[in-house]
Amino acid sequence: MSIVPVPSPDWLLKLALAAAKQLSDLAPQIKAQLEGNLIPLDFAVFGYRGTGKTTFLNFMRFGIPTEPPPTPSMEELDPFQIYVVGRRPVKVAGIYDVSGEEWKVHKKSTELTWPLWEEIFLRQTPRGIIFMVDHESLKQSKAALRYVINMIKRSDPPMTFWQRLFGGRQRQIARKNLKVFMLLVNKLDQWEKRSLTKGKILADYAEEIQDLHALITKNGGKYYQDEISAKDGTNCERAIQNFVLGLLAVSSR
Amino acid sequence: MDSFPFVIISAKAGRGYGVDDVSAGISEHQLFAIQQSWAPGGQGWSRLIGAQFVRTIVLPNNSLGWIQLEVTPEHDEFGRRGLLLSKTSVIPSTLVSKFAEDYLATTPSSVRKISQRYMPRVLAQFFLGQLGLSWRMFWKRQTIITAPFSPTDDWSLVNAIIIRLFLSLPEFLRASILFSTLCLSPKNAGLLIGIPSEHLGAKADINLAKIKLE
Repeated sequence: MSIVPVPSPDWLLKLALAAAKQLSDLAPQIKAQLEGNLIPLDFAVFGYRGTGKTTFLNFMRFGIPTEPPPTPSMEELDPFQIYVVGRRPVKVAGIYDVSGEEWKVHKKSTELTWPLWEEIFLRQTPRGIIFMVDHESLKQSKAALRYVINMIKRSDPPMTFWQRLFGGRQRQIARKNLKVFMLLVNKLDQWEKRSLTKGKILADYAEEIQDLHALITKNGGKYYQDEISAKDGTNCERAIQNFVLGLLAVSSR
Repeated sequence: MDSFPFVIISAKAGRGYGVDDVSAGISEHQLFAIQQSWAPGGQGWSRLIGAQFVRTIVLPNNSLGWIQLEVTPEHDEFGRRGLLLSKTSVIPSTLVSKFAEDYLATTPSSVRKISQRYMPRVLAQFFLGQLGLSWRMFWKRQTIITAPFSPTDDWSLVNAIIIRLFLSLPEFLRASILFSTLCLSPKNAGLLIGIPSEHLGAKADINLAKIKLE
């Protein structure tokens, strides 16, 4: 009769540690598998008024060009699906359609703010941001983009221990969560008459783009830019695919 | 009723939506809450030009926003139509019934009479709808009043019916019940809402109490 040797506690501990490591490695993989299926993707679409945020969101949701009226405030959209090449349709939820109107801090103030965007950024903590610009209203669009950059960079106000414990550090969480930023230059259909190109338009945003690139790279994310016409749908599908694939790639890392 | 603090928001060509006027007595938090939720959700206001309606929203400091809205025929510099004009009065939540009664009193007497005729049916439908789903909380269940919108109509009949329905609820509940007499999406619109039947199509599968007017 053979006697089974009793495994030493060291051996057991090593086995337990290896199993725990395996589990922690598996968790992101499982999460990546579920991403877009059970765990919906989320992102925010910002941009100055009239740059085509709602038109682009409508194209994402319905797949057809539309001409919506101006968005008066903010509204959470119903969940929808996006068909991604080579994958199952991904579920998108928690998206807000928000107005791009600036909000003056005081009546006589020249400082422009977009508090609704900040509210969405902190409430939704989106994984991606699409920022829309066009060839019109350069000054305001630049101010809006700068506002978004500062909004991402800004740190939390000093907090007590209990505030930190219960839902504090919201800005830090939002910043950490942001992995993909896409700058979309809209109204491509109007450029031919004015002999404009994406390069010419974005030349005015060089400083902001540089800051954004540094910010997103530091966060371990991806920065994209593209040209579209949300009104007639040109390049919209390409931009959507790139953005969603970027979100999925960064999420599964 | 003009003695209460108010905010007027409208859209103008070259500026977009913005605050036209803010009276004294409105805190920064209240102003921000109004900016966040003064407008009902949904797209397609350009098909409802001329409609006048009312809605309520919750504001900080135990107050309510009583919002009177109008879909104006104006358009912005991009040619986009369906711009809204709103006047939000900041009122204590206990005064909402008084505001509703006053609003109903301003509607034409002919409209009030017709709306009165619909009330037994509307009330029956409302309470049946509320009892229909026991697993939902009472105030979570929306009641939609739907009717076709015609350009000659200003939606006053549906306004009157919803206000009457609101006033027929127990008084202690009224302060916590929000309504939108016209909206294009039931999301965050309150318990009692009006949606033009042209815009209801996609929501037909949602389990809601629907009341159709002839």
